[in-house]
Amino acid sequence: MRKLLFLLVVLVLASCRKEATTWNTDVSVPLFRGELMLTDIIADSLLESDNGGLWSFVYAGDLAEINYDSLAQLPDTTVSESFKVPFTSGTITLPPGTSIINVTRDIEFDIPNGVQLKRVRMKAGTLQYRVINYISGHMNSVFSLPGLLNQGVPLVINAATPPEQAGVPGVAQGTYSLEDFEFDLTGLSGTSFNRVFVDATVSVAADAPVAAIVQGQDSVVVELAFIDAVVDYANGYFGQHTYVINEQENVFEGVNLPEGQLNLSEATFLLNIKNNIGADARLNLNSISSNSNNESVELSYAPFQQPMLLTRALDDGWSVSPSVLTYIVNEGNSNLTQWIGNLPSEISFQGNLQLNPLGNISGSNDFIYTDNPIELDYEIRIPLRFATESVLLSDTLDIQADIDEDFFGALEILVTNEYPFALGLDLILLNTITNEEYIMALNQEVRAGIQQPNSSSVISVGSLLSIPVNEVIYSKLKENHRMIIRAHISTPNYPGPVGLYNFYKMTYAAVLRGQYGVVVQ
Amino acid sequence: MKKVLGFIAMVLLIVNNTISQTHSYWLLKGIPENTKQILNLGVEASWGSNSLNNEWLSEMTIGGHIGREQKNLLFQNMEDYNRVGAAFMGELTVYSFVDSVFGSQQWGLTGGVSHVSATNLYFGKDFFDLVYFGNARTAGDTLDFGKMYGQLQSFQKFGIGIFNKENLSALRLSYVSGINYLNLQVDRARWFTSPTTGVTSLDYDATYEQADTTKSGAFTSRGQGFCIDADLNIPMKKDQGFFAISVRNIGYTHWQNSIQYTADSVFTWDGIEIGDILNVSADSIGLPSWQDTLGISGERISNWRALPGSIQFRMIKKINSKSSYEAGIMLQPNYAALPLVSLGYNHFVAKGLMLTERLNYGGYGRLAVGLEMQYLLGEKLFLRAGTQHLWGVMSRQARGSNAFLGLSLVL
Repeated sequence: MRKLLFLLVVLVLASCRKEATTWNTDVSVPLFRGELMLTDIIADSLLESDNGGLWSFVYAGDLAEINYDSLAQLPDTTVSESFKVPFTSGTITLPPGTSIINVTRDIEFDIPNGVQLKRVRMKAGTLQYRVINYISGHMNSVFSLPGLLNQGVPLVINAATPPEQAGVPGVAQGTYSLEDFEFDLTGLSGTSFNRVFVDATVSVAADAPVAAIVQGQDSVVVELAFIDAVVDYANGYFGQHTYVINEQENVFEGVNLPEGQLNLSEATFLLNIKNNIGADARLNLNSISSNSNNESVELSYAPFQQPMLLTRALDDGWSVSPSVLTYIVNEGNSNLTQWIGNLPSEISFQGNLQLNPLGNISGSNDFIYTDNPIELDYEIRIPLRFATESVLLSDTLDIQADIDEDFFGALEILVTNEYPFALGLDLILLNTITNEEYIMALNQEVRAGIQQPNSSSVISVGSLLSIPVNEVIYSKLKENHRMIIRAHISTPNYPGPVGLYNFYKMTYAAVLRGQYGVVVQ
Repeated sequence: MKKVLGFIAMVLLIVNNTISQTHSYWLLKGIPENTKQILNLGVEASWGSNSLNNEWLSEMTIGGHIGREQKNLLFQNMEDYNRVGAAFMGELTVYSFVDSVFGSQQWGLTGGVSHVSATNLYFGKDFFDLVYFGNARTAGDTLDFGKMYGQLQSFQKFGIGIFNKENLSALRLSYVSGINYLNLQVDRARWFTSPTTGVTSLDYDATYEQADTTKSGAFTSRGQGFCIDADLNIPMKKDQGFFAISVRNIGYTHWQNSIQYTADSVFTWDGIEIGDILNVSADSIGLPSWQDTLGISGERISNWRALPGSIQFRMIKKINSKSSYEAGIMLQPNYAALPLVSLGYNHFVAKGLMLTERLNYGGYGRLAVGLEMQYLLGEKLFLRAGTQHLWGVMSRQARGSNAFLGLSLVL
């Protein structure tokens, strides 16, 4: 009877199933693939290859940022000049059109740090003027500034001011943009500095409705305010200045440089100094040190241990011919190998830059184009040839906790290696709470590519890595674990160096092989 | 793959016709006098296969683990192409003898309601291999699924017609309320797995159609149609027996708002491309859109689709007053069903109790032995019950099963 009811049982239970249907299948499923090149480990911006394709690690930076503003700075300045009527007492009545004041004089800028400017060209800024009339009459004031040239035309300020009334002066005001202005700061004499020449004329307005009543000591005051002036070019004498250099650079920050011993015999440190200023300078580098957690190493290079003299640049009116000093520091002329071998986390530069160390020897013909100051650039270049038996690459991956546990078998990774060195790969699960480590795979070998004799070309070699996937791995992955990937690199024919070329790569293809449990709910 | 598995699972849930739709020996032998109405109730469930067995069906429907030994057994007994099909039918039919049609007392009115679910699948051995064994063991070889066809239809019928009061020959026209429709047609499918890299490629040309997926509910109507059912019962001379021809579900359903997916493409899977393996995170891995990658395009359609019809020829010939033999053949126009041929021997074992032993071959399955009982309870109630697959209701290793029950009440 039980058998006879079988079909009905099937039909009835099919509509209220109590358990899933399962079976196991043997699968072979590609999971991921890709290429591993050096640019995946070190940022592209830090790598350069030469014509032969040899990679070099290149780090370039500015040695120091020196504030040159004080050389050619027109500080916000307000100049107030009072022009008085040419009599001291009494009252006179003057009809419209009568000239009262006609005076010429210099207005002086207070420029700090002993800078004596003769000529400047402005990039930006504003000139505000304000004319204050203490005369009881409609006045017309004309201030001519031949030293302030706008597109080659001298600036003339015309101000019509109402009369003073009940002790309140009449005022006229306005603004000019200083962009593209050129200032001749030699004053009335044409040989001075930091001053502009003003020719002031004050008359009773020709269209004044009534005559002006002028008393002795009456005056007209002009206020000129230079605001946010930005100089594009300056000429004069810049004075003597000392700029302190105290810079720290995180050279290898964020760079996955291999641990171990790199062959640094071809490494160079290049210091390039370009003086675009028409003034002499002297550079003193007291210390260039590489600082790691354990050690600080001073760069010992003879030319850096004495002042470096920078002659002035030449201005031919169209372009500047800078003076350039280049120093190439290498293993042969310094302790650079030791200095870089320290694998610094920070490089420290200390010293100073003296401007016009010999004083005004140019006859006040210093010049500066403010967009082209003194440049102090450096570059660390390490051709990537290395020899090692134990260079270690390491990285940590976050693991997603939501994992399908229906597969048991192995993750097989087929690696095709074109690099001429072998890798020993470790995969370790790290418990982020207890710091316990669980080794998934230890020293799985990626065999070295076969380097051709006397050539950089390499024949690729394939290796198969196998990483178990089982209950233990699943349980670990669920327990706040991260995966640490460590690759031990060993070069062939150690200690002979091996170069890293831009055509080397390592390709990988991962396949899941094992038993997959199919579940049909 | 999931849809194909789901389709197979649905195959298992439902079963095929149609002994229960034939009339009882007692009615064909002669309608009792003063009959006003006859009520026929028939229920039949069946499934069959030339390769899959009841144990597999049980595990696919009720649940459980399909072990390697069982899979091996099924696989070893498979042919290159295999068949599986199932159907469930429930029907209530009324014959009214008090009415007359076309002015003739010989014809009466008949009406009925029924529910039919039928499904079938025609599949290659390689398909079973891939689904149940995975792709690893055949890596390096091409799995050629060949052509594969599958269909499931579920519908209800509400019919009215005429019948002959003497021999119960009938013609009935029914309104069809379509409940569900799935159709899979694979014209080409080849699967290759690289033995070294696991790279997998699938070369395929397939169409899959499913009735309106926006509607939910097990008995929600998703289409309307019509169909014709007919019985022609021809008595032999001298009461030596009769010939019977039955057609069922000859008609169409208009399925509205169906979704039809088509694909004719070569798909290769070689893993997710990772730009920088040292900076891999869940966010950085972009899984492809499977529908796009597989080259599948989908569109909404509304189309007429034929119902899973059948035609059956049956002959019963008297041997003596207590026994007869019968022969029949049933044809189902689908890829998975062979002509179902049956031979039977009817004999009385007691007053009012007749047994029939049958040999059946074809349909979705292989050779099967059937057993039927027809019993006269008084003069007004006829009971028939049995199975077309006796071994199927006894063994989990049998490749199919069947059970039917029929009641005829004479009022």
